Amino acid sequence: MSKLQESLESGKFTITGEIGPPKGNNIQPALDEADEFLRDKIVAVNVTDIQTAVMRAGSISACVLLKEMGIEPIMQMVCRDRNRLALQSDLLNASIFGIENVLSITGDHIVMGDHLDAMPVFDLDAVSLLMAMVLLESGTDMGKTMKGEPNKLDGVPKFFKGCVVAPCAEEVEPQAIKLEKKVAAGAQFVQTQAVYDPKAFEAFIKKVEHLKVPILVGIVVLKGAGMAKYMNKNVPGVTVPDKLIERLSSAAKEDVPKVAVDIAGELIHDMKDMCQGAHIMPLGWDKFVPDIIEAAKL
Amino acid sequence: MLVTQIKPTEELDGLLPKSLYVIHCLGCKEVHFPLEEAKASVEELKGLGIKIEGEEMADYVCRPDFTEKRLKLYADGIKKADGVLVYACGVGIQTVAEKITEVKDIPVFAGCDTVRLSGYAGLMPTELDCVRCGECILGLTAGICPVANCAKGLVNGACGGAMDGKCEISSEKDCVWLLIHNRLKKQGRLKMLDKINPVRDHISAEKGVKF
Ligand code: SF4
Ligand code: SF4
Repeated sequence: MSKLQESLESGKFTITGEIGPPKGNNIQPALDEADEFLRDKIVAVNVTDIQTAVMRAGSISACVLLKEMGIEPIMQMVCRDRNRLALQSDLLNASIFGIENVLSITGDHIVMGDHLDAMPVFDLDAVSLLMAMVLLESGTDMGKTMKGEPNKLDGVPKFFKGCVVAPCAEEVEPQAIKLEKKVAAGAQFVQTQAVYDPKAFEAFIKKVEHLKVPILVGIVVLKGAGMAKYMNKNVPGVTVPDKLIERLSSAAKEDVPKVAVDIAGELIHDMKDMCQGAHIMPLGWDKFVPDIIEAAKL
Repeated sequence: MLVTQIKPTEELDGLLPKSLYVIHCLGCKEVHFPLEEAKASVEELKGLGIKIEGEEMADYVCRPDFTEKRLKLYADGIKKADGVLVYACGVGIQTVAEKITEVKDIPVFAGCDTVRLSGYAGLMPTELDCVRCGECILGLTAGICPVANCAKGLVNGACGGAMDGKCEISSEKDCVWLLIHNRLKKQGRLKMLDKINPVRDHISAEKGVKF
């Protein structure tokens, strides 16, 4: 059983973090940050998968290296770039390296990234990728033999399967329905999109309580008022309240990181009784993760 | 050229309301419509106890102005029915689903699958699109096609990328999944979403007849 699964099943408030692989093969800085600021502070580290369709190293290699360092990885997997053969194959690849935690994501569209002329795949989506994992775990795959019978795997993988949700999307009901589908398809944990409004989060949690799936609230560190305003304008399903923006804009430049840490810590503190953990996305400010956890007063 | 194939009755069984109005599109000359099979399929539905309140032949159902006029012409029968079953290409069915509200807001069902055939792809330039996927789910998605019109071709619901109701890829394009959700909700049919096959079959599009 993965440490993440163990921690969630024990009922402990579980914190995860995140690193992004580089555009290039210089993986060391990302690993060093994980080593210095995340190790022992959190339970597991997400490794993003060609995030926002900007070409870069994928998730598997960094997951393998983290694992070798004794840090538990969560492999993110998006459906934009690989068809069902490649996705299933990479699930096997991950399993060969002992990676268990996999986060199923549909993925941003190609037009959000830096290869606008590429072909969007989306053969599977976040729901059907979870179904594929369940099939692999049962010793078969999505295909059939020539006789129309289920294929048989030589060696059967085991995953701890996760998914994502946007709890503060402008229309929440489609999100709740989709989460229901993901859980029915096999999701065992949920990490959310950034939340800045504990009231809205609570309302969403009430809507999906019956699913009985552990939910880690998403915390994106606000690095400044500019970033907050940018997110309000451009990131779907994310609303940063004015009072947080004011706190950031009224702080002296050198105090901004301190305010950012306080805000993130307070958000976790305010929502810790509504959910089973927090997923901190520091966007490069990994060095503040220990302070954020401190500020959360868990 | 495109081809429609009649859905097996089992696929429609359990999905359709007790009474239906049926529209066959005899189409444009670019589309092959198997009329005899369509009529046989309607007979089978009658056998299942579904009441047919009217059955009409039309052509160019994909033309919004024509279709609106026709639906008004058929209003007496349509008003008695709880749903409309359409045998037409995907664009035709979507056009009926869009225009039906002018007469009565009832669900529209696809009686056939539109499959791909090389060559000319239909006649009517319209906002609505059908990529001839061969497993038409319009009957489950309030007559709005996510396969052709969701930027990711998703069949399992909204991706979470929509902003102000618009698709992640463009502020000019509605998120079809929000349209589908809201339309189904208005019709009290959100449960339909559970019936969609969560994994697409990319071979279906190729099961067309070769001429
Ligand atoms: S579901 Fe398939 S056949 Fe039906 S309208 Fe959409 S693309 Fe065409
Ligand atoms: S925003 Fe809506 S239409 Fe656009 S890709 Fe997502 S689900 Fe599809």
